[in-house]
Amino acid sequence: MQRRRGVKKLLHVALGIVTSFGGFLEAGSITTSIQAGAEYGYSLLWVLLVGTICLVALIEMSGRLAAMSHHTIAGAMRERFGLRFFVLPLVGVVAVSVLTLAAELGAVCIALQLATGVSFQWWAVPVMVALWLLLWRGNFGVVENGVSLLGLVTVVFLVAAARLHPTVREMAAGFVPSGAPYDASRYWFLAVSILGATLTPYLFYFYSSGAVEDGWEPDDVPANRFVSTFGMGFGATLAAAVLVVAALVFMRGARLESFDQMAPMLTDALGPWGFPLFVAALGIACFGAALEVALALAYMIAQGFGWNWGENVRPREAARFSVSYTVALVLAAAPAAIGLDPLRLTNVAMALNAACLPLAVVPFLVLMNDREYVGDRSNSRLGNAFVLGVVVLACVLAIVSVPLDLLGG
Amino acid sequence: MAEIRLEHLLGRRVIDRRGRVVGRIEEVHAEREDGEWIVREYVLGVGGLVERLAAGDLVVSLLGGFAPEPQRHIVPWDALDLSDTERPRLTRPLAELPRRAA
Amino acid sequence: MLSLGRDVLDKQLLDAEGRPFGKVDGVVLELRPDAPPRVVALEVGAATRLARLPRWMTRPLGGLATRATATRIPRSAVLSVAREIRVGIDATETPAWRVEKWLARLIARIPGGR
Repeated sequence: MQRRRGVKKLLHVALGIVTSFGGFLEAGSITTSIQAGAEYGYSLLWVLLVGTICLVALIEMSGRLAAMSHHTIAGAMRERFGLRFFVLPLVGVVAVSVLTLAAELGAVCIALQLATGVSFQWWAVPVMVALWLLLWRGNFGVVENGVSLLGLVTVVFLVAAARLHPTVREMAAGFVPSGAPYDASRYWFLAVSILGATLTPYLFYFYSSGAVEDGWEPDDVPANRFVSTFGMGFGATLAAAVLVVAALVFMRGARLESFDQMAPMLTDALGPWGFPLFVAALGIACFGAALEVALALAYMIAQGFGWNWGENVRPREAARFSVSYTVALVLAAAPAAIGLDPLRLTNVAMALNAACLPLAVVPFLVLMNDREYVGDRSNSRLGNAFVLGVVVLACVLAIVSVPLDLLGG
Repeated sequence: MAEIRLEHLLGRRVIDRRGRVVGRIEEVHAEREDGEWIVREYVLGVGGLVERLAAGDLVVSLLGGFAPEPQRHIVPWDALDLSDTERPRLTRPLAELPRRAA
Repeated sequence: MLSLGRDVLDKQLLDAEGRPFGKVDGVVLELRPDAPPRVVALEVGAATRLARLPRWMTRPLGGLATRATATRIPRSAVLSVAREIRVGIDATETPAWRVEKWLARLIARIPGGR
């Protein structure tokens, strides 16, 4: 009996790592990595590293919160801080998540445009309906895992990077924090975008929902640490691979203005298959991310207000919850439907994610130090200081660099 | 029946007998007695927003021994006059009210 | 000793069937002359929530706000106070469930919603 439980747990951990890996890339991480690689070569790799370490810490914290308190982040925030304060991070994270959802949806439409030649605008409503149907009729867990496993196609970036034989020494230099080799405002804008794309709040809010639903207990904390570190860590290597390929394939300093220009990037390494593989990777990764953001949004609202929520709940049993993700999807489809450039939208969404981070993360950090919620497994001083530092840095950079980039660009 | 809402009481500024603001109501403690929930005391947080935030768990973790001490007083139910629900008033001097250990 | 702010307000409510039906949005205290105040009811509902938010946030909602409900749960109906607050009433009979019922009727018309 013990052995069977042990095997089951092992499988669960393995699934967790594989789905984190397959589900890591999405519109924000893909576009920011491509832009960073094309314009600055390897010199922004250190930002990806810092962001990833911070993400691993935040994901681990959400799992720990769920295991120790049986609360999700949103649920705990409402209970701990009261309604009046809670409204602030709620509105902030929801707003930024709807924007992110719009970016994911837009990217899926672009992938379809690249595949079929039909303009992305026409795809907005069909993609929205497809997403909605999967949530309406499907078992979330199956849908999520299924799409994340399909998302393993993004491994093509890793393959392409390997085939291009990057110089290890040059790459390693990129992991050392450095200043801008030129055009500082653009450099820091991209740095902020990478942080925003890596640290999108919906990720860890959603993770805590899954953990609560799976009924995590304090004993699950070590396994949680393992999954978050390796799942997210491996996932980040994919983002790094995208950056490396872009650095090697595009002319240094090339400012890519549309997905059309980015699409051929795999052909150098993978030949004629490169283009369809890019399209598939982009489309599937962003579709999966869209499902996750929509669910995360609806979960957050339901948890904050105490409504019914969950993986296997039929729409009729959780009416308000179902309506939440429906409304979010409709709002998210609007920008693509009216023809707003998905690339521009993605850049804006990622920068705003970064700007909103303190609001999303600081109350969470307070919870992680409150013994009533995490018992004796509260955060270490180093953990607090590091996460707080990254989050504040991201916000300050966002406030400073976004206007500069808008003025300069 | 005179009613007051907990959610409006929490966070409300409390004045002393001379009309000066001394702090805010941070918590209300009640005891279960004969199936009723009877209010026994209020926790009064002295100091402004900065002081209240500064004493939080996160700040204590970051600053360790340098974190400021929160100042809280216990106000027995009969020491708080709620006849004007918008302006709760202490009926006893602050100095007489016991300090609460953190 | 019960900390009303920490242990009751904003806590998850479960009805007699274990259904989640909101968080405690309000706690009603009775003020008595020469006796300590006592808790008479818990409240859940959009109206109670709106009353807690600053006016500048709620004024734009205008007409919607007048249709908001507030459901009172007498303290005697509270069964237990733990991580959640269990009350011995049927959530589906309360005004708070009105929105849920209305939406559910709408959803039932859409295929697959059942």
